[in-house]
Amino acid sequence: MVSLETTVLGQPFGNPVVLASGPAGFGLELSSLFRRRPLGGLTTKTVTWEPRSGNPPPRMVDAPAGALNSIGLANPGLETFLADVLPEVRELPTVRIVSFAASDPHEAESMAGRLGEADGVDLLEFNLSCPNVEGRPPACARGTAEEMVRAAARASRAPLLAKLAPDVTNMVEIADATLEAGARGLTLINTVRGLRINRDTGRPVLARSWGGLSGPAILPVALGKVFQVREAFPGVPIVGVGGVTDLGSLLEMLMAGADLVGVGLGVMADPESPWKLVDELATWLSRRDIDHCSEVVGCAHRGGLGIGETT
Amino acid sequence: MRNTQQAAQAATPTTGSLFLCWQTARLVARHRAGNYAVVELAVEREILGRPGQFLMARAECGPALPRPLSLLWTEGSRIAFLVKDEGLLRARLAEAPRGSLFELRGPYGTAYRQAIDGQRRFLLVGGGSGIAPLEFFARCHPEMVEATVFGLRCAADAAVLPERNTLVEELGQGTAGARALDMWRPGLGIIACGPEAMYRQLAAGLPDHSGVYVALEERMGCGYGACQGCVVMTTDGPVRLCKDGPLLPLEKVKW
Repeated sequence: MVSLETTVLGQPFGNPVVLASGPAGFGLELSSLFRRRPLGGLTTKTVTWEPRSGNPPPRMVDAPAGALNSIGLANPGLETFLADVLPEVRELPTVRIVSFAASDPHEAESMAGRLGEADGVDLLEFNLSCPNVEGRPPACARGTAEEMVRAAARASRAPLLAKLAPDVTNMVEIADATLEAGARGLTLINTVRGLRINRDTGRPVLARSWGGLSGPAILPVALGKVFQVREAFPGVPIVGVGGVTDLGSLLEMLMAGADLVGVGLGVMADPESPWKLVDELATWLSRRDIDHCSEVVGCAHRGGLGIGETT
Repeated sequence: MRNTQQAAQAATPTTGSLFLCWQTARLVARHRAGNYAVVELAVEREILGRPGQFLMARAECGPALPRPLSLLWTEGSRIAFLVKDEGLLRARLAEAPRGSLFELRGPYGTAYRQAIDGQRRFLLVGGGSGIAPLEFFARCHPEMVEATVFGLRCAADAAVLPERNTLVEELGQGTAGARALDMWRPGLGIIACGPEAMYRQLAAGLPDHSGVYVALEERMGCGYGACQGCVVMTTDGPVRLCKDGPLLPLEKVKW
């Protein structure tokens, strides 16, 4: 019998597949799927201190092998989340990772304090890297990232993951800063900043011009970042996110060093896909006589699977 | 004409998880006219969609995100769409040989009947592919329909719905909108599905916007209410078109 179980920051995950923050909202539209079969975890839509209605439409446009979104952290705000949304999220039979963002260290401290002590919050993911709000994301500057994470980590009772941006010169340096400041794990990567032009009008398609690219198009970028950070910090848990839509990309993400793998665009296109991936992963491991999924995690750093050619 | 009454009256199957699961659909019949086609598909599981609801559709090697398509009718294991042959998926529906396979999930969205003032009779004003949900509505709720005003770009297109009198809508002329304004009288409602210019024309020409509803369109991500990709701003705040729409009262739309 193959084991997909893994423990990350003290939380027991039944399998390594989680919903990435954003596309699945708070997971409530998928509650029927959660009740039918287990999934490793759910990362909620990012919560902010104040409610946010998000960016004006259009907020979404196709891209080759992916999509560009500019939702802009639309969410009901901390108080409504705690009062009305979290009680429902708590009922989902999975590990709950609550994503939050903050505009300054003081807010980060308050948010992490409130969320970290709330019943039903298993882990916190600090979104330092949304490309769709005003200003430079905190994850794009070492000093800011460090300051924000230090404030949040100090206040949070729940272990903190830092979600970083791919659009940086030195990913390892930023990762180092956030870990130094108290992050216990990393989520890599957020969407890649991009833009599309309407060929009829000659103007950017998205109302806010810029968006974040997700989907298979960014898989190699995400794999590169995960690989690089895993190599630099071998003991730090990583949630690998970016372009995982099928078994092949899931395997690559695990092999690059992700302990958990987030599905984003995949769940928009096919709501069942995270659950299908769990089944396909179990079958793949069992066909190769691999007893435990952890044997695959990070194997690219150890000379591979050690059983000859892989698929 | 097909009897769609039964499908229209059945409860929307939003319990359980089936509406989230893709199913294979086989193209079984198609009627082409001009740039449009009525495409019939056979599905494995019955889809109890109602007028105004839509399905998400995809095909192999299609775009990364599926596309929303309004139902033209459903009957047992058959469903139909009215598509214009533009865009990767729609063009394939309009051109692929019989027997071709597509995938569908749904239905999604609020049925028109649930979104409107049930005490009124309505003018149904449609343009292009927007005719599909209105035609479905007219078949299912004839007692609520005063008249249909459907515009298509040319006489060849109009042959796609031979049972309806459709207007030839010259680009930028607002023919269907103008006809609707002529026919409107106080107390009558309007359900419109078409280009935004048509809605603006109606908004400008109608002295009273109560009982007037417009179907909005935005690029969609998930289709099931989670991703917030298709949100539009209304006087009541942000609204997800895939779940709370696509039909909204004209007076709540922020242009």
